[in-house]
Amino acid sequence: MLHAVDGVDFAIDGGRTLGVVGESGCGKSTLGRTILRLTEPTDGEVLYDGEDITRFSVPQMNAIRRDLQLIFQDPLSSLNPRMTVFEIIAEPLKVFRVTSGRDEMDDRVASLMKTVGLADRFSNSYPHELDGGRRQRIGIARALASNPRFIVCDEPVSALDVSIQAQILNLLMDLQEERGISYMFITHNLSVVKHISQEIMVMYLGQCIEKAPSEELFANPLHPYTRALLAAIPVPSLEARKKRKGAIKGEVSNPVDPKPGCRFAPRCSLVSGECAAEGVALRETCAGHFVACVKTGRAHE
Amino acid sequence: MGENLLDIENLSVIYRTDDAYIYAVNGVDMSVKNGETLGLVGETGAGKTTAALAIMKLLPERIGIVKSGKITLAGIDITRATEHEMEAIRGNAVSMIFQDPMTSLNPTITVGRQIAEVLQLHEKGKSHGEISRSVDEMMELVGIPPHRKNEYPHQFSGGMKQRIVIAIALACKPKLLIADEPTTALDVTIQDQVLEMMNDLKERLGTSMILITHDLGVVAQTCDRVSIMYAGEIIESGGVEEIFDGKKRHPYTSGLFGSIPNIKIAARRLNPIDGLMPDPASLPAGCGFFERCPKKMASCGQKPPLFAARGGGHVIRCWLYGGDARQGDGSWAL
Amino acid sequence: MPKGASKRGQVQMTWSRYRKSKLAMLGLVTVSVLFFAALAIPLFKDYEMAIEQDFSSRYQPIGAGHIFGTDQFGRDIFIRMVFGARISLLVGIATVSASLVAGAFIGAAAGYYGGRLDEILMRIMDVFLAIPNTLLAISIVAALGQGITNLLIALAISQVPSFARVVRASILTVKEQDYIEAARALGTSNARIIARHILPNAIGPIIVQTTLNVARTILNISSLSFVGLGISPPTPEWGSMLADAKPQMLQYPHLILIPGAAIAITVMAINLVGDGLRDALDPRLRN
Repeated sequence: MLHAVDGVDFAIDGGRTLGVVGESGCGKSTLGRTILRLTEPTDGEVLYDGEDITRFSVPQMNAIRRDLQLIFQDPLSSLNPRMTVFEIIAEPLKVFRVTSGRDEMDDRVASLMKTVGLADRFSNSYPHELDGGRRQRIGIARALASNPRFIVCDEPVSALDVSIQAQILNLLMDLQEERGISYMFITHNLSVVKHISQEIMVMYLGQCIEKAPSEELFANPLHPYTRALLAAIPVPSLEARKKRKGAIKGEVSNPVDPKPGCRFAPRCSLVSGECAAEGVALRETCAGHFVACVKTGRAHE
Repeated sequence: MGENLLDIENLSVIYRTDDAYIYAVNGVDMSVKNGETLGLVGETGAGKTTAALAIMKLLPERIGIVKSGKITLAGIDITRATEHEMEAIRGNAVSMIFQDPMTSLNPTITVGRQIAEVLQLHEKGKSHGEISRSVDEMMELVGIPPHRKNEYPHQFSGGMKQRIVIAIALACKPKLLIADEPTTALDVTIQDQVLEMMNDLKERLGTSMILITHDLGVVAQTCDRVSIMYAGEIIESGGVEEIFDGKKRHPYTSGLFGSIPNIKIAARRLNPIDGLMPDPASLPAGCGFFERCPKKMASCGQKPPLFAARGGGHVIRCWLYGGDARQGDGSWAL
Repeated sequence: MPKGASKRGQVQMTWSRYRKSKLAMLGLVTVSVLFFAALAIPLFKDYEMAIEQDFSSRYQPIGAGHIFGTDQFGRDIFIRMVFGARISLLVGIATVSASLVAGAFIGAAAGYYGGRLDEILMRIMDVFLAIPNTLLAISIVAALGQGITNLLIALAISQVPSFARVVRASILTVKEQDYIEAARALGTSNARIIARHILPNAIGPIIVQTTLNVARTILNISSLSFVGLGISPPTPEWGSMLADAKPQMLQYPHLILIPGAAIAITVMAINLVGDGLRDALDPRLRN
């Protein structure tokens, strides 16, 4: 039995962003897809406006999909290579019957392209003819087409160059301000979520191991894994080079049939006997800051 | 410049496609000293990988053409070397590792054999036992227990595979290792481990390295000198201290630093560089960065800037800094 | 705002990409000439001329009177060839279209839905695939009885498995792409996902298989005619002309070379069209 995501609880308020951080295999993408029911959960509920959408029928689900959208990591593979930019952005309009008539659709596509900063002249281009940043803008325009209220952003800038990354992050933040969209922002890069999220959740092997308001998490990371993640980010300054400490050992283990106890224990520098004991629950150490660690959690209580 | 392991002078590479010439590398000068690590930084399409492939002489045949320039590696003129001579140079004098460790290894051959193959190819006359010992040694060097040498690539994680790729590249103790985005496909904590190992190996083996990356953070952690590429040209070059102290920089370099989300600074918005890199099939007449430059002057669009020396080997190719770093004899003071 | 990526615009773009390939154009011209000749021949020549025997002018060589000479029954080979093209092309294209539609349905369903449906459908296809194509067609004709309709049915059925396999395989590779998930996230119906997002991206191997099958069908008709289950004499058909000419092959090589060359040229032209179409339909290969 593969436990991709295990007993994760969280809530996202309207117009806000939850950052979900973790390394490959931690289940962050599965989490995002489960919320949108692109992967069916084994157990648990996803409440949207108070209703459990895991119990929705297919037509019910399709009806609310216009509110819940997804932006992908790889902008090229998430765009149909046989469709032009216009067709890709018009697709959700057709599927949800948002517009009536050809002219209205043309206008909507044009205004969406303008919103995400794509010039008109690209409307008949194919995705492969454009650069990564523009491709990602198409993906964003497609997600925006149905006027969603919630967007899962799955590593939307990881495949882009730094200068383009910043453009896209700023665009996503502007859209949130203008339209009050909520984001779940999935990434492996803690420094990226810092700017965009109000709250951050760190995942390890399918479990949430720390959750806190963004500033609190960066100011006061408690879980040894969160600290290791922060320490591992290569900082573009030479001071950091001098005071480098050793990298954490080992690699993420296999999420098949996990053992009880803390899943980070094999790599943890603070590990002791009690870490193998059963159930390391999330504990609130101070307002809104939750951590699942026997050691650091207690020290701060 | 006798102490330099690698010298590149005025290298230009074009790609010939059906309907266009793509100017991938335009007049690049570069040098690497013995034991030094040079960071080659730039965005996708800046020409970093093309420059590296030119050193390896592995540009796609009939498509990638070295238009001008001279590449001297350990005293050998690569541009004049025959394919036969290159076979001996690759692996022995220079080795290259690529971004994706998943596709660089043959899935049907055990990792031990893949390391051994390189050794057999370049160190003929070694006995079976000697090679087997060298394989163990290499695996230990990159931090993989030698008893795993009979396993296949798919049995290793991404980070482990990249370690094996590095072991293969270093098997014949090359003088120069070109690493093309070696950690980009890896997770941060694994990237950290691999970078630490590469730093350590470099010191132990005295290998020179060209580290191709888009991540200035990685450069700060590993490199001695930095060359920043933009639209096929090196626009700034210098020691890490000069580049990272931030006092005088090329506007593009400043833009790169401004784009990085920094966990140490609490800013809500980032400062990206607007626009995109010019199309390498039709480069502008003046400075390649002109269109996007926040500090552009009217004259920048007309004439490409020359290098201005800032002292200590730090040069910036920008009209803001005026000047001309060319020495009396016409060579660059790099 | 250019008024949309209209369908006409796409057809034009496909055509402009297609035109760039000289070989594809050569194939298209050849196929067009064949079609035109096959359609127009009744306007100029009587069908009777293709079947009436004239023992006074047997084995005429290639020359002025009869461009391609005459056969063992004194019939004009050129006229027989052109009338024969009607049958070869008709049977080839009709059976392949029919089996393509059926095979695409089965393959798409099996590949897209997977699971038990996939297992059941593909095992059935495997059973058909285990029997050699020609043998299968022979048994079907033998069971249904001779005649051109039954021949069409037999040839169509015998090709369904090969299409189902190819369609399923291409769908499996496309299905995993992110853009399919993107379409699902939009609540796109399964039928629309298959028709709009999967099939256009899986078209390459399907087109190649189609052209190969058209070629194979033309050859299959001749095999069936040879064992007496295909087109019955005196109906002109390339395969049976080839078979009829065998005994005189050494004395009168033109009897066998002309239909042989016609089959080879047609097959090649159709393959060229297929390759050209595959490339022209792929916007990534624009240049």
